[in-house]
Amino acid sequence: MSLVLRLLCAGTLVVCAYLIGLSFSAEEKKKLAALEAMRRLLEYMRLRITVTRTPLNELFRSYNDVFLEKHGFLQALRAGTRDIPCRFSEACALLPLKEDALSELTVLGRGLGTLPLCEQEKQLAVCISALEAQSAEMRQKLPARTKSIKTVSVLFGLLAAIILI
Amino acid sequence: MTDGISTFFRYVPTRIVKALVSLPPDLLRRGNEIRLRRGAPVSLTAGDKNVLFDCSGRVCGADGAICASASELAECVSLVAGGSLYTCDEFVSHGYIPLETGGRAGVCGRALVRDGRITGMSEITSISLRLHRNVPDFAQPLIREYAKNGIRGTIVCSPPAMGKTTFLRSACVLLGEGRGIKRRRVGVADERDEIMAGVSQSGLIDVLSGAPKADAIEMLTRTMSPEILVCDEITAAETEALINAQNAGVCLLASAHAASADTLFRRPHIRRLAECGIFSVVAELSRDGGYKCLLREAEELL
Repeated sequence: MSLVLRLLCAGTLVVCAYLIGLSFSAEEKKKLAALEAMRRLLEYMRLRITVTRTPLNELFRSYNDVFLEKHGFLQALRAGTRDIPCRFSEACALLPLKEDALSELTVLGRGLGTLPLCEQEKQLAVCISALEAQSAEMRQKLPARTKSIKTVSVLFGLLAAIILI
Repeated sequence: MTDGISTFFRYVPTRIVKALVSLPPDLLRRGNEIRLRRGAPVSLTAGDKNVLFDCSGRVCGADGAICASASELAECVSLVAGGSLYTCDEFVSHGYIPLETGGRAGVCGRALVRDGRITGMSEITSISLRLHRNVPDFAQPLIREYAKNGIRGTIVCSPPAMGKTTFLRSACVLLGEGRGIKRRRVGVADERDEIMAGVSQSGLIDVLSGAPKADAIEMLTRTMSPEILVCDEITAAETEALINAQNAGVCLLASAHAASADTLFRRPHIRRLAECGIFSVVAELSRDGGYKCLLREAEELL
């Protein structure tokens, strides 16, 4: 294999590894976006529940969010005849959420629509603050994390190129 | 108005509905209440009988009877509340949840009390779905009495679930539509949305629902000038409002729980109302082989 060809192959490996790194870091960004979209939804729910006491079905019908629509979350929540806690947990499973966020939302989902106003409000507030804390932490760590993912993937690419070529 | 007990199946978990539909058709047709209790047998009330049944719809004793699990009861509450219990807080604090289909579901459980007042329930452990019957001619004896001797203040009494609300509903329609009597303006203080919920009528009936009875009585008297004011299950809290309404020249038709007409006036607020001349007629209800109404003069009982 000529030197030029080897260099070309090495270059391709590094670029591929970089692209893989990019996609991993995009996933991380998606996780943050999902977290923030859920926080926005919960804020909206808290407002509508406490101020106008809008029923959940009506509330889900009127809510719009590009991210949640794109991932089929709102569609899953609006559709079906099953009760709201079931629909909520099914819809959450469609989102690229981290484990701890998912467990917070699962707890919230179990009581959704089955609690009196003050308890529903309290549960929403607890969940919102937990998601806020998680998203603040993620937002803070995200640049370094995406950078390290890209760096590691490029290094892997280089290593693979050296070993193989 | 509801057609039968099957109207409630949409609020009941599937496993229990499957058992209910397997019950003998005659029993199901006569059923007027389904009651779910957490971890206890589900019952169907048909006439004056409370029936327990197993998963395959066989009538049985407490052993082997189908029980509602905690999750089934929660599902039922969620369905009754349209998936949003918090929208029903005010109603729950009064022991019921209004149904989409008209009528209400009675609820029971652990009450939340603040400043000596029930503000809600932290958990619901029983739910009762009772059918609102429409017996159009039930109040016909009273209407005949009114047609003969003129309209007079009337109190309807019976033990619970004997048809007091059904009687009032019938009286409202007969008076408002002028069936057997001259058409009258009827004002209904329907606090729990029970008397006229889902009734299609073309009479002169003005309904104020959802408001506390005492306030509703005053408001109706002031703003709608009814000839007859109807309210269900009067308590001591409404005594003053009823006396004021009577003094404003409005005839009252109200109901109260009592074992019989003879014991009715042992209740101090009812006695006071009768002594003030608010009630001249007592309509005693019974379910002896159908809906029956016996009219008596209040004077005889005082």
